Amino acid sequence: MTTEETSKQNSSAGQTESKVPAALVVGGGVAGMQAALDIASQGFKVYLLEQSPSIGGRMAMIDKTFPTLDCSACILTPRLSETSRNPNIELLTYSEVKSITGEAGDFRVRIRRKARYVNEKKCSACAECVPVCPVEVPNDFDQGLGFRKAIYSPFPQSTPNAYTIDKKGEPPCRATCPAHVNAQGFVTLMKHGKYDEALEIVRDAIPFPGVLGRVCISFCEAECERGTLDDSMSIRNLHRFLADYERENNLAKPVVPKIDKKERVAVVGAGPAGISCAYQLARKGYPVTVFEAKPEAGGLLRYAIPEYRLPRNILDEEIQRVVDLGVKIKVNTPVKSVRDLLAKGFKAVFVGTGASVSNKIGLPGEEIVGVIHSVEFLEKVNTGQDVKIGEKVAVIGGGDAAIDAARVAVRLGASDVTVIYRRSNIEIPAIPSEVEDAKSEGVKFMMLTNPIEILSPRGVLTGIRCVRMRLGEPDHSGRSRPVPIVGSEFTMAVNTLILGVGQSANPRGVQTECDCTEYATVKADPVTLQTSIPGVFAGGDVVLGPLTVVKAVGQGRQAADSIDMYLRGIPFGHSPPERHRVQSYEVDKRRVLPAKRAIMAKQGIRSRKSDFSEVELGFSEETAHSEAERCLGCAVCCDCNQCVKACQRGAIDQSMTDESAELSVGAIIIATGYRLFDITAYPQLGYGRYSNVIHAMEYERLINASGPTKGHLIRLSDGRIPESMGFIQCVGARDVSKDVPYCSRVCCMYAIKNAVMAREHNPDADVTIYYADIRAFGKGFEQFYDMAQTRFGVKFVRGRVAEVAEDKHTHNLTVRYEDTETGTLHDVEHEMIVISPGIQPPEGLDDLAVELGMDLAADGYVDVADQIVTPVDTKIAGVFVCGCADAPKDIPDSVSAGSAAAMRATIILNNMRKKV
Amino acid sequence: MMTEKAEPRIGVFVCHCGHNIAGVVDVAKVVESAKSLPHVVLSTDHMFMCSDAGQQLIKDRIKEQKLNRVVVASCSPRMHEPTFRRVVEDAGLNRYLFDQVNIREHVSWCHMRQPKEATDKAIDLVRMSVARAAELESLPIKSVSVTPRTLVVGGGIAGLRASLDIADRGFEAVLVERMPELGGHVRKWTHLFPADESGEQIIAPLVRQAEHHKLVRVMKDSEVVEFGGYIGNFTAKIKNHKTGMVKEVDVGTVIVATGFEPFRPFGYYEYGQHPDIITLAELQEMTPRADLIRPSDGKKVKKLAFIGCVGSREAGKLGHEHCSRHCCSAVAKAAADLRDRVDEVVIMYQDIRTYGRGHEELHRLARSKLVIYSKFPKEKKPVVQIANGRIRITWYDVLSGDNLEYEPDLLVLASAMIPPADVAETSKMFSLTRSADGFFNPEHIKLAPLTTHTAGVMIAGAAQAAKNASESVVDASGAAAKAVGLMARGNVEIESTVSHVIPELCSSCHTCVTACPYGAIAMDTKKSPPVALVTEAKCKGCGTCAASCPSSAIIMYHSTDEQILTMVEAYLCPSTQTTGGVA
Repeated sequence: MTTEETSKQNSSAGQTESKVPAALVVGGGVAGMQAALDIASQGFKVYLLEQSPSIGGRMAMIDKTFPTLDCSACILTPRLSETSRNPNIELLTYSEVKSITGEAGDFRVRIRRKARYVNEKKCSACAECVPVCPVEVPNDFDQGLGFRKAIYSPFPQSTPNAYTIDKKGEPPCRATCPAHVNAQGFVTLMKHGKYDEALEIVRDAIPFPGVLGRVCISFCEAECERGTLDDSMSIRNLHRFLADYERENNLAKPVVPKIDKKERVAVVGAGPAGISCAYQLARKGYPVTVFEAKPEAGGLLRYAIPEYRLPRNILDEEIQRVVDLGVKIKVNTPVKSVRDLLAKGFKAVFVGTGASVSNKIGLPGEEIVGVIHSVEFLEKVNTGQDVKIGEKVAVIGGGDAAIDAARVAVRLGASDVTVIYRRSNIEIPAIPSEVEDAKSEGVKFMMLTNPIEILSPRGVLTGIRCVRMRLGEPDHSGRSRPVPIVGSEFTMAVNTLILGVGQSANPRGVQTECDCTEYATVKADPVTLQTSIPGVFAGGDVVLGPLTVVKAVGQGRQAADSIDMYLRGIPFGHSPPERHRVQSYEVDKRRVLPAKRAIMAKQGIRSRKSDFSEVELGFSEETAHSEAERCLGCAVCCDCNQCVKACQRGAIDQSMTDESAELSVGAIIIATGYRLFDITAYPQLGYGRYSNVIHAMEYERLINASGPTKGHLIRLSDGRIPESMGFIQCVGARDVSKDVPYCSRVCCMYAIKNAVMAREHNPDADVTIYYADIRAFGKGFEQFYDMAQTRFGVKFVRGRVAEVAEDKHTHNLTVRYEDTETGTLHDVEHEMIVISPGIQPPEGLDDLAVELGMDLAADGYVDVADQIVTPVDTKIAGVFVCGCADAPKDIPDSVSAGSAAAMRATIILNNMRKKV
Repeated sequence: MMTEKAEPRIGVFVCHCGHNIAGVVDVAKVVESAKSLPHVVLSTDHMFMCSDAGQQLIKDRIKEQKLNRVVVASCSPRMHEPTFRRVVEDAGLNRYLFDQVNIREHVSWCHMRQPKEATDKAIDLVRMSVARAAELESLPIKSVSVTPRTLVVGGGIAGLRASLDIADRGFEAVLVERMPELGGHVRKWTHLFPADESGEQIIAPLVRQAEHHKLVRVMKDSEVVEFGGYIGNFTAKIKNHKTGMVKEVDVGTVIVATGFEPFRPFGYYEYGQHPDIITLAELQEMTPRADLIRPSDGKKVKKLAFIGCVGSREAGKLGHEHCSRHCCSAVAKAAADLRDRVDEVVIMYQDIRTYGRGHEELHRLARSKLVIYSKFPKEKKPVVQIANGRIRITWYDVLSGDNLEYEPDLLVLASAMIPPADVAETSKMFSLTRSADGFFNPEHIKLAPLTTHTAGVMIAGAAQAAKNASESVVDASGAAAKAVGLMARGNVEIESTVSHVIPELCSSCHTCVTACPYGAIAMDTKKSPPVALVTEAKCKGCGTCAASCPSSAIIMYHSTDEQILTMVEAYLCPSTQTTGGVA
């Protein structure tokens, strides 16, 4: 006789992988839960793995159950809490199996636990986070009929009773932005008019929402997923709107410095990189001093970018905010040595001195009167110096500085301005809208042309000689190399030649104290931006060479993070893993209506050509709002952190990452459930085209009190209560041509139940079931079928439906069917049609089978070893099956099979214990 | 019942449940109102009482304030009563000295738009709970041991599977079969769908294993003649028909796998009037040979007919209303198999219920072998006549709209699966209830199909409803899991919220004995006169007996009259002087 001690498992986890044999149950539906409970009740350990955030499976979605009309949730809920409370069951929700090795009695299972971003133990499901979440997506639990937030709990009784953040990763816009501005975040908040919070998100990343809102090259827009549908989002203009809105409505809150750290940091250069670095450091509490050689802060933003693109009050105000944060800016203070700064007590230095030296084009005559470099030209204009300009102006180069120079030349009165660029208008690096604006202001563009000689017969510029180019093989930059076309030389007359062929770092600059490249740019670590001198960091053009403002701003931020780590003594080298960038296929684009990108209003051409007033006029609130609405919300959660602020229990942890774990188990139970047949395979039934044709699971949610309509049975087209309903059977079942030769077993009964519920909701409704055979075979089923006819007056018509047609005006539906009992054709009008889809093996079962080395049957189901003698044993020893993974089953049959699989599994677990 | 009567010191803990409660109910007001109630020494609130912090708060206050009663006003006890019972136990209080007030589902959620009234209601409910708490008494935490042995009644395929699973798992099984051989119906059948093997081939290994397993005690030719006890501690007397010997076995759990009986449809389609009219079961028991031979004269059958739903699906006819589930698939399989040996097969059916994976394929196979299916109307069944020794069937074919007739050499009636003739005795013996189909009722038709209302007694296979062999085996393993679960734990905790008869007040009227739906009350004949006695392990605490007792001799622990009436009084007379109790 065998007696066993009660195995009272210590609830204190963390004891060495105890000797208690364990089983893995894959799938937390009603069958999987039953299996887990019956194994656990014997004192064995059970891992119950479920891919969704909650156990409960399909049963949790169902409204009522046949044949007793029990409320599904009411009978399921105690089972959910019983499962979650059982000390021998470890719930692994939001998890999936990655690999399985080993054999019966000794399986090793590697699993991935997806990050929930909510601490299960701290969350109490109070739902305070829900109203503040700005992201709405179709609620898959409600079959997409309603919406849910990015932070959600699938249903009120979800187990574990914790919320989950649906976060697919980093959206392309944010991943692309050199400054990591959370574009999806602020755009999403704008949809709800939360401009203040939205601007806060921009300011988390950059000090320049208004400046970059005007001059950013917008790498984000090039990667915007919306662009694959119609036009990309106008992201730059949206954050400009935020800054404008705050200014115009005087909403800016006073900035309060919070300098609470002692370590002083010096920043050399008050350009975009330096200001950005100082800003982020000040936000972290460091006292920062910025040293600037020029009379004013702003670097190229101030000295190179023309006012019509960036009004100086915008720049001044945004720099002032940085000063208000506690940053000291010392202008007219060139720095001689970074080592001196360290010696003077600065604990760290950031070098952001930019690329201040203009490149030469290498032609004789570059120094003569009438030839000027674009940055010098722009600086003179921007600092109010008198600049002489000729009638005919040629600008060499295709960068933003070249275009700026050309447009400034127009404003200074030049009558003929030509931009000469050696590649084509595909390769031109300037912002496309700037090129367009320049063209509309009369600037000519001469593409695929290069100057070869500056003509200055008497020391006075008279013209240039150029050659036409063609594009050859790509060069080291990946762009096609321009090749001169022999014999295509020509001469053009010019009075002023502006050279905009780039900038370089000053070879005698302060940065040369650190190790530099041959171009005098600093060799900084690409991740930390630390230079060869410990404690000295560098960023912006002085590292990258002349690039764009946003890259400089991004490096300033990056350096600030490194400086913070450096000063806090945190070793480098363990940066968090790169976040998954959301891929195009992951973005749900099914319900998106086409909408054009918003165009920003501009000043009239004539008036703008005459002065330096701003050309682009900004978005109206209405335009900004509708533009924001176009965002697809690629990553679902937009990282706006509104929930973090709302959660009073500190349960939300945005830093969570997916984790992997290895389980040692003696037996595995497959309880992966089923999926519904995709009924769009029967286009003649109109599902997906006619809004009043729905499928049975949608119907379940529609009549469920916690569903999208709070349980009101209405038509989706007009919200009316349907007076006449038709239920169509055997769709995706018993159909060899659709690879579903088998009967789905449950559809007859759930349809009868649904029909009865339709009569319960509206006793006057006319309810008809179109069936092939009514298969009421289980305990109490035939009586229920009988009751549906006699007590509830549900009509049963034996006839396969050929087609469903919609009336365009009433959205009523005409069912054409052959009554197979009489052989007659009929057309019957209904106000709603519910299709009963068959069920199929679940998605992912094939992957699991591969891991188990198991061959699935031709129809995709698990094959059992012996249908009569061992109906829950698979052909792989130690692996068992229950629920719908081996064939369609109703709830009681699934539950019985769950218990049976548990029994078979525990025989193995017990033998393991004997060996120990 | 314990009779400690220390002065009650009640702590009231009101939960905000985030905004769930506090968004509607003025929690501060509820807390304040509770402070003035009798015996309340502490009233406080917390954002989430169920959270770790909330639980710790309760534990700390119990210790600091020496609380001996705890009232938590929060959500439905369905979810968190076990949580809070554990909390008070951790703090050293008896779990029955805790009371939970549901001010979420019963108040804030259903009165969302009436905050004032909701607050008033919450105050009322808390006051009632406090009054009840003062009357609460410690109850013992009881458990009973489980004898590690299972009695399996019925040696068919379900009983065999259950016994073998239990034995393979390391527990003893006593397998009782009244026939001389194990194997049940399956052993007799030649066509066992969906397998291609005969029943004998399938069952023989199982029988062999059972008979040789060290932990399976097979008792053939035997029947359970007496059964008593309660979960974990049953005693069965088993009588061997042949030897007349009666053995007594102690078992902790029972699996009833008594199966079904094929209905012998006398009165249907001339069954019994002609040797060539047989049931499907009888067809399956015919010795397999190259040709299908008709019983009457041994001649080869050329024309074979089946009629479905014989004794099944008859609305209004007790015990025959159900669908017998297995017959459609079994007929399809038999017809497809036999079609090769006869010239023509006709199946007359009402509906074809080849449900589930694998079964529809049998139907399709039969059709592909040109088996003729003909649907007859439910209200107009075929008519069988015997004339000059010939069987003649006339019926109306629904699909063609024609009246047809057919003279088969052999007519097979797919007759119903019904419970065995002695099901009533079995039902009484094991205190099992039966449903309209005559089979045993499970504890819950959806989620507890294998357990019954008698704790410790499981049902498996066709004892529960018409089922095929495969489904019965699934049940058998499942029921075995239930039995093993109880045995592996070794003991079961039983609720102390049970009824108790005060012998002095009992008038021996038997009212409670008949009222009890669980057979938990019997007359204690050791007393004179005999008085009612509750077997606590069987009692579910429903209170039916207490309500029906004309002598008020029955106490419901944890829901005593005092505890209930004091709540009513506290509701009706909200004075701070309320002390509860009945006059």
